[in-house]
Amino acid sequence: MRRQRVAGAAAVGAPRHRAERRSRPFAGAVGLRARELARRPVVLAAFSVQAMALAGAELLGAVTAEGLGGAGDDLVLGGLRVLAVPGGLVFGVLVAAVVGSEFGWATERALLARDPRRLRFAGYQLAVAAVLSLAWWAVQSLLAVTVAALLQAGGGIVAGAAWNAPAHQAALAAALAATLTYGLLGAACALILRGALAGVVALLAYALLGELVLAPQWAPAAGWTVYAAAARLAGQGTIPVARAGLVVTLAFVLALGGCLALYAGRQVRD
Amino acid sequence: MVLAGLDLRVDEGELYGLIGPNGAGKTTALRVALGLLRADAGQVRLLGRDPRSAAGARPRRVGSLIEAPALSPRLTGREYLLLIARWAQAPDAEADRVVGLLGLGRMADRPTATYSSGMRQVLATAAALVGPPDLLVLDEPTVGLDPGHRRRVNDLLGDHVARGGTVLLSSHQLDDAERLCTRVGLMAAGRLVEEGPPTELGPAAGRFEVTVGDPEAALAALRALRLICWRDNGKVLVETGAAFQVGRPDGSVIARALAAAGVYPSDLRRSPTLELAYAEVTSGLAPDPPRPPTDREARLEPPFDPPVAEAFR
Repeated sequence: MRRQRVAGAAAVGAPRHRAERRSRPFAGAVGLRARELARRPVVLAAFSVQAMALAGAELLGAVTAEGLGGAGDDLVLGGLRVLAVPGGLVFGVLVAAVVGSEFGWATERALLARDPRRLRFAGYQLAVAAVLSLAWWAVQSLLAVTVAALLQAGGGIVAGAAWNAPAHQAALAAALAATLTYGLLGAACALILRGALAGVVALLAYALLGELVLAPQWAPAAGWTVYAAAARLAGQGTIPVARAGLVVTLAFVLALGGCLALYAGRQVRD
Repeated sequence: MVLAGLDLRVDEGELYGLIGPNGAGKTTALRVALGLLRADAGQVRLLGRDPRSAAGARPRRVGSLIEAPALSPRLTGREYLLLIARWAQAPDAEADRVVGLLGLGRMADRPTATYSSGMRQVLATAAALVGPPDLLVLDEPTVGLDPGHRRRVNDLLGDHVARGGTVLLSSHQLDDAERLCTRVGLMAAGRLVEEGPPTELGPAAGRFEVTVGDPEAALAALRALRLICWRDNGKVLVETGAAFQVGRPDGSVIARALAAAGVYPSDLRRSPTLELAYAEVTSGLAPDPPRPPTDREARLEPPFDPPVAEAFR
C-alpha cells in the first residue's frame, strides 16, 4: 500500500506541486473574491447609487445658499461629510448583502468542508469586507473631491480659499472610520444571522430604527450612536471628539468580537 | 436525533459507500465526519485527528462534495477551482490539473452562473479533487451527471483508490456502488444496518446469473454438482453460499460444469446484490426477490420453476 501511494503521488506530480505552493494562499483567496466582487451587480449598483447621491448632493450644495453638510462654500468638506454619514451606513448594507450571499450560495459549506476553522472563514469574510471598504472609501473620496473641485471652479470659488486641509483630512479619516465600522457591523450581522436578507434587515433595523429614530428620542443615548460619532469625527455635531472616537472604537471592537465569538461555534446544517 | 449509534470506520485505500434511503442519515454522517456538524456524543476522527482541526495539512488532504454544488455565480469555473486551491493551501497548478482531469475545457473559463446543473456537479467534483487529496468525502457525486461524465467520475474514483487514496461516498446509484466500492454500509434510521463487500450483502450474495440456450441442461449439470439452482425469467440462478463458507464455488466452477455438460453460457455474472439488500433495509417497499427452492422443490425432477412448485404447497 505504501509503495502504491508513493507511485500515485509521483503520477500526479505531487512533489512539483509542493514546490509551487503559494506563499500567501489566504491573501490569494481574498484577491480572487475581490475580483469577483467587482463583477457583482449589487456591488456595482451600490457604488453607482452612492456616487450619484454624492455628486447630486454636492451639486445641490453648490446651487443652494446653505452649502453642503454645514460646510458652506467648502463642497469638498461637505462631500466628505456625506461620505462619512450616511455613506457609511449605505456601505454597511452592501457588506451585509455581499457577506450574506456566501450563505445563500452555500460556498460557506464548501470552504468549511475543506478547512473547518470557523475563525479562518470569518476572517476571510472580514478581510474581503475590509478590501471592499478601502475601495469604497478611495473611490467615493476621489469622486467627492473631484466633483466638488469642479463645481467650485465652475462657481468661481477660489480653491485656495475653500481648501481647509486639516478639516479635509479629519473628514477623510472620519469617512474611513465610518466605512470600516459600518462595514464591520454589516459583515457581523450577515455572519451571525447567516444570510444576506437577514443581515441587511438587521443592519437597517439597527441603524435606521435604532440610531436614527429611537436614539434621538432619548437624550442620554443620542450622543452615543455610531452615526452621531462618525458625524462628529467628520466635523459635525456637538458631542466631545473623545467620546466620538470611543463610540466608534467600541462599536468596532464589539462587532468584531461578537461576530467571531458567535461564529466560532457555527454548525453547518444547510 | 439523526444519527444513533453509528459505528463506522473507513480504512486507508478503501472506497466505502454509504447506501440508504432518504433520511437515513448519510449526509449528516458525512457532515459530522468533515467537521461541519459536531456530534452530540461519541468520537469522530478524520485522518486520525479532530475533524474540526486543520492540523496535518487537512485542507489539502481532504476533498469533499456535500449535497448540491456550492458555487459563486460570478466566478469562472477556473477561478472557483483556484479559490478552492488557495483556500486548501494547494498550488494554483492544481486548478489546471483538475480541469484536465474532468475535461472541463473551455467551460472552465465561463462564469459558473451559465453552467447547467450537471456541469455544476462536475465542477464541484473537480473542486473536491484539488489538492490532490488523500481522502475524498463525496455525497452523491454522480447525481445529475450525463453518462459520459458519470463514467469519468467513477473512473477517477477508481484511479484515486488504485493510487492508494481513500473514498467515502454516499450514493443512490446502486449499480455504481456495487461495481466501485470495496465495502458498503447500509444505513437506515441513523444506524449502520449491514456492512461488507457489496457482493456479500443481502439475500442475493453469492448468487450467479447464467444465460444459456438450454436452461434445463444447465440446471441438470449444476445440480449434479449439488449446486442450488433454479430458473428465473429465462435465466438460471445459482446459489453458491454465504461469504464465510469455506470452499464456496465461484463463477469458474459454474463455467466448468456447464462446459463439461456441453452447455455454453452466453452470459455468466454475479447477481446484483445491493438492490435486494437495499430493499431489505427499506422493508415494506421491497419487491419479492427471486428465492432459492425449498428442499421439497429441489427434490422434484427438473424441469421445474419455483412459481410452479409453489402451487404444490
